[in-house]
Amino acid sequence: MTGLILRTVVVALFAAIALLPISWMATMAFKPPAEWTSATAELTFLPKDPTWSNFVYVFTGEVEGQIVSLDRTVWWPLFASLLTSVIGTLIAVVAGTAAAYAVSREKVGGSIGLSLLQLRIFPPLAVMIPVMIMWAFLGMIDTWWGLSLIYGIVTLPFSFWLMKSYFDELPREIEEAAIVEGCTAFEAFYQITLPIVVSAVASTALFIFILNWSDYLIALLLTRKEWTTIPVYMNALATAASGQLYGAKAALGLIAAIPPIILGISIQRFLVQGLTFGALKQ
Amino acid sequence: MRGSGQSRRSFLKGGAALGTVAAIGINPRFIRPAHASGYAPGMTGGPTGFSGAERFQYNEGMSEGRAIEGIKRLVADGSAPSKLRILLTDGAIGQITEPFPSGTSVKEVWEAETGIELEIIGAPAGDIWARVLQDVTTRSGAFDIYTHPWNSLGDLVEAGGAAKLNDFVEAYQPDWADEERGTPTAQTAELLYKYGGDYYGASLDGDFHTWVYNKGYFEDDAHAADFRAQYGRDLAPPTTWEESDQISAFFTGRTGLGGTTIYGNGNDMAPFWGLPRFYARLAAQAMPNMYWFDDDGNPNLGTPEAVKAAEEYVKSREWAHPDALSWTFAEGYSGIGSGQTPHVTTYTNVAKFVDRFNDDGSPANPAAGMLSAYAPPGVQHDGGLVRRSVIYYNITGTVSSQAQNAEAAYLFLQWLSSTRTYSWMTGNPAGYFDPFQKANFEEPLVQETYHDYMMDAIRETVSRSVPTINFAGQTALDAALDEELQAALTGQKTAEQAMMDANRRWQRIIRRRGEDKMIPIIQASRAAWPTIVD
Repeated sequence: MTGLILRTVVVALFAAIALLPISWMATMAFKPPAEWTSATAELTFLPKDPTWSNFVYVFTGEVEGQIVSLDRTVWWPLFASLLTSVIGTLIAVVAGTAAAYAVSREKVGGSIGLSLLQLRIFPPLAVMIPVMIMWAFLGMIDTWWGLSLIYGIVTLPFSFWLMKSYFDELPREIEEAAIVEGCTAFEAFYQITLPIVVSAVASTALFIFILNWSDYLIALLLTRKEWTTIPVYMNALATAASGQLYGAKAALGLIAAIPPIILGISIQRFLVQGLTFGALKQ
Repeated sequence: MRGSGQSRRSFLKGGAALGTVAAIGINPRFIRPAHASGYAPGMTGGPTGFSGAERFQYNEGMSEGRAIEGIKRLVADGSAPSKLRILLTDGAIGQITEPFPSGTSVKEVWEAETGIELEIIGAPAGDIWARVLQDVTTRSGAFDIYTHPWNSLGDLVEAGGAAKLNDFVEAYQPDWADEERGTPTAQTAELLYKYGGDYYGASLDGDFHTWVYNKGYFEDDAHAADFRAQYGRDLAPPTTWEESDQISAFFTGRTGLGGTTIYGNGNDMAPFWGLPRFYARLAAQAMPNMYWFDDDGNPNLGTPEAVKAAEEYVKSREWAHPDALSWTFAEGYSGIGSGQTPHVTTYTNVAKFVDRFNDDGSPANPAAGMLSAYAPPGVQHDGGLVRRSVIYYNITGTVSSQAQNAEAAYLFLQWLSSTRTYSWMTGNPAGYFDPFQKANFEEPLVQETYHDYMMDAIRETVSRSVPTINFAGQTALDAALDEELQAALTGQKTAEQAMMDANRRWQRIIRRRGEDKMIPIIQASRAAWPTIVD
């Protein structure tokens, strides 16, 4: 009994620590400007005068009490984030799955796995300087395809290694049986193996989507204006009169949490299977 | 198509006709007659449609008019770009895009008169220099015009990122240094627009840090009586740093507007934003100035005067808000606006953002209507009182060395920074381009938004302001000093140790960049310092 209480207390403590910044953001999203910082009033956890104005401001660019209207509303950065994250995820998952299958089953590619890992060995900033120069040379700065492509490239190692571990766990005999029954190698992969690992693909896709969706550094360096994503747009939410628009940033933070949550819920059925895929095979 | 009574050929023909009409419609040569109807006699351009618009109008004999005529020549010979791409601090965009006082915006007037679109790309003030460097180092050529802190001008020139403007200035004669309308002194023009004797920038700001105070607090009978009892003198705007610190100490812990607790020192002390507060203290420590470097180009940070300034600066933290180390200028504005602080030295637009009333007549901030301003405090020396402030940040426009058409980019900058357009723009409360030209202070719209009490205070501050560092190496020099001061403020080092370490780091930076090259630049920069002693 004591152990149970202790465990509960520890779990509750860690949960509280993890949730504190999120809950602070959630309450900040509903605070008026006068309650954003300690420079205007004593800070409180809950808003004294709750308001929707921060949400109205980011979506319309104007709200009562702000003398400066926003140059850009959140609509386009939201679209840019969705588009580039989805395409980047597709690139990484499709290429990563195909590569992982080939390496796992056919033992081709030699040290390709380690080569892919190199993409994540260096600090991102060290890699991004030459990437910036290449992207500028190729005219891909501030384009949706340029950003999507780099997202696909930098998340490819995750996709490859995650999928490879799943394929390694899957008995080769299932595919061999399909081939004996008359399937080609591609048909065995597409019709037999892929449906089995779909839950693994789903969990990999979610993981990679979240990485792309929450990226700040790459989007900051490779976009200018047209294709800035939510995190970059959020950083720019400041006006001359109010400085950092903490309330609007918090509102945007809540909005930005919605797509990953929706995606997570919609593939929840696969997620549980995917996350326990390897364990079940043991 | 036939079914709808229109053939493909006639549809295309109609489209072509529509295109021709549209092309004529957007050509500036065809716009002028309609647009010109609101101009004052003799004027050919500028805003129309509001009372007083004629004060901002111009003709071909004026700086803005010469810029517009220059653009028209480029349009006529087919070399004008269809658009100009400007990297601009987020907080300044509104002054270009929002109509003021009504009817039309700066952007609309430019586009109507020239047919050249302005594409404005925003970036936070604290990040914009990194964005500029990013464009320069990757050679991506994403912008025709950069805006950035004036302090970064030297680094930008040395990096090859800024186009030299001498020929354009010679050809189009901007009124930047006009004796009646331009910068307060010819020396100021040299300081703001030139680097190493050549034209590179156009000043779009007046960041001469000015003291603003809560007059209501200073004139409050209870506060005044207590202060007199404690210090034996009247509670009045300070003339020295010693008096200023006494006022900060006095107010700390007292009760202010709405029962709020007052913190006597309202100055933000965050990295980067707090640095000018130290520079201002340091500059007044000697007669006529405590220069950042001595005659031979050696840093002065290790001197007893610099240590004294640092000790005072660190001590002033005692009277600041507990969060002051994370306060930027915006929190500084909020502090004086909410009544939490009695005085602050900051950017002059604090008055237009904080001291204002809503449309329904209610105060936008608790301290609205109670603010006033004073000339900077200083240090009393045997030969007189040295009062100093600094120019720091000061948004400056430069033409990118990668601009598609440098002349067109320059002409826009000249048009924007000339005294008529700039006076119109700086009065607009939607951004933080501040007044600094003589014409700005005479402009009723500027006086209205910045308030009468700021006019003399700004002028007195400008005449006593020393330049912070703006030569090559500035980023490294300021960062080194800033880090050491932060270490002292957070108790990791004593003020003396911090200054000794900062001095060593400055020596190393100068040595690495080449003393032969740096010392002449350092010595030349001293020529722009004021010598006024009160």
